[in-house]
Amino acid sequence: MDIKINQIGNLLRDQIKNIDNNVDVNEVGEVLEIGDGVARTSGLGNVMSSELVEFPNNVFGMALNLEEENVGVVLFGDSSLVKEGDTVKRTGKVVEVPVGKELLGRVVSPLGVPIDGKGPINSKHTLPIERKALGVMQRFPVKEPLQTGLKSIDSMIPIGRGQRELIIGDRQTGKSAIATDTIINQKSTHSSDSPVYCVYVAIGQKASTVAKLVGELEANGAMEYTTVVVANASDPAPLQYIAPYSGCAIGEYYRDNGMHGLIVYDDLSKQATAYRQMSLVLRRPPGREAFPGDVFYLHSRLLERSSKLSEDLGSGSLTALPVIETQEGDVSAYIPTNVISITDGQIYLDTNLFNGGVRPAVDVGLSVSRVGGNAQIKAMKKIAGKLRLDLAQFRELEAFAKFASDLDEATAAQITRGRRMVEILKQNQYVPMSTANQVIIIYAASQGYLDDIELESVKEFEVGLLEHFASKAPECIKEIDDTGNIGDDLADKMNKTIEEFKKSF
Amino acid sequence: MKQNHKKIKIYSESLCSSADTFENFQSIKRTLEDLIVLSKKDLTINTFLKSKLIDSSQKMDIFKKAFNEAFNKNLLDILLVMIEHDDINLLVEVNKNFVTLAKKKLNIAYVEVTSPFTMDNSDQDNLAKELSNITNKQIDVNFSVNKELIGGLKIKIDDMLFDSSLKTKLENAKSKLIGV
Repeated sequence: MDIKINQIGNLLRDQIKNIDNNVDVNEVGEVLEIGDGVARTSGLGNVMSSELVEFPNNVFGMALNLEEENVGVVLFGDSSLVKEGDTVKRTGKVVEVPVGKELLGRVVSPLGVPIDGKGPINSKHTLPIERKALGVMQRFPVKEPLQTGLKSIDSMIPIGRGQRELIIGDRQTGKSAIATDTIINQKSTHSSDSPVYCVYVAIGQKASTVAKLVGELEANGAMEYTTVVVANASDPAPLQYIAPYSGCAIGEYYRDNGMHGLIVYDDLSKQATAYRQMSLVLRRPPGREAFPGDVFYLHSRLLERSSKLSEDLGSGSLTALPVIETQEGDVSAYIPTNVISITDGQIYLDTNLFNGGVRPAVDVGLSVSRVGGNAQIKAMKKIAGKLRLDLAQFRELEAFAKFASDLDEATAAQITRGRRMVEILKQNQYVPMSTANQVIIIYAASQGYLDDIELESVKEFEVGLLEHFASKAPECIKEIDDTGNIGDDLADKMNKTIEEFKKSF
Repeated sequence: MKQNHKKIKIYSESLCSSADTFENFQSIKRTLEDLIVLSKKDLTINTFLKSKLIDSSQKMDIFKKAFNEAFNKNLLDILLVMIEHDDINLLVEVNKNFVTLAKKKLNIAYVEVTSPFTMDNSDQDNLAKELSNITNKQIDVNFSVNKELIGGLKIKIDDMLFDSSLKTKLENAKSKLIGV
């Protein structure tokens, strides 16, 4: 860090000049007991709920339990630095974080402190981490698409700007991969007039995992428009609890200023666990699965803050992709059911599909998007309906076909089509696809052009076809991008181009 | 637990009603504090007060004989009732509650003054008078010395801390410099 001698001199001079008349006035209390990251303090009679309080040795805490005789404070720092009898000071402000474009490309703690070694953040604005969600009149229906760049999601489970779409699945099923790909895919929006700024909130993850993720985002040029908020597994539970709210405040800045934001909470199960730990230590009564009674409100008040604003308020949006980890595929556990009911749909990832090589392992039957359909472009809407139907029929017949030795022609054709559909929906990580390309390949499959292609050659066919379109028929791509529709003329042109390529394949 | 809360309230309210002047309050408070310290430090007294083997009437007699002259009559009566009902273990909580109630009733502020050196009596009196005028309250003041302050004073009035110590100023300057 560059230390400027002049600045130090000025600061010292200021301090010395005011040394006689400066009196620190603070409302204080005393630490009665401390343990498990929670301090009970006396005094602090006027402290507000969620107010930041300061302990000696630069340890901060948040007042949570305001009781008649004492105040329960959760600590954000090392509790071994605080001892019984220490003085605790009010700061007079609720916990807030710096917000703004200065945070792009940075990795910060839930208190907004940079942890990437790139120096201080000179942000002009701050926002309290806990803010009330907007009312009905301030909102607008979700109508603009937010492209993830993943064929299976953009075609069948479309997400709109301002939507809250849950990503749910067991461990190691590719939940974070979907979120990361979605962030990487927003790069294309930064050459348009409505860029999407991203916030990735890592809660309770290993520091090495987060470091790897930041590295991948940097390698793909996605850190330029992304802020990463980190509360690692080794951080105190209160930091893991506030991390999503901090991230949300950072995202809300874009929404409230007429821009578009995307926030990923990875993952909320760990936040709920951290909150459970904190609540039990604060002696709040436990309920189902030992979670406190207000665990639903914990997530509902967070996710309600993602919204699409009305034109009067600048038409900004904040899209949320919360992640929930299930145990052995049990979606009926307490936290998964809560978050499923709060969000506008879910992307369910299945372990068997993942192990079977279907990646992203999206279970189309259990996944749904409740509002995103309105945001889908017409071209995608047209072909996706057929795709969903084909896949549903395929799944039904596939199970049935396992027991039958002879299949009639129609059934065999249906299975052949289904297998190719599943194949084209497979996609590697960190290679999001443009909407036009998605439309082309799904169109080709749904029109049956892939039916006579060997299953092993489908991937090769896809790559070749897209290259062929880019070189021989770029006007088709342009028309899909411009109009977002497949008219009769365009359909003819596309059919011709596909047939032409097939002859040479 | 709830039962104890009720008892603490009754005992402390009774003590508060007998503390009708500031001097009276100070005398009761000091006596209670001394008794608490004594019962904690002196094993004989502690055992005597808590023992189930000694009859409560016997305890009351001994207590009465020992403190009849030294204690305020109302205070002694309340303590005897506590002994009779085997509630003397609630003394710390009763004292705490009594101080809170009496401070409110008599408009008293609790002040802690910390200085880097010992203040002489006239300085202490002047400061106490000044603080009483400023706060418009009677003040229960306690002076202490902490050389680490280097210079200036730390004055804590109830929950408010007024800190003009050189130590804090240097710490503030340090944190500003770190933030450069």
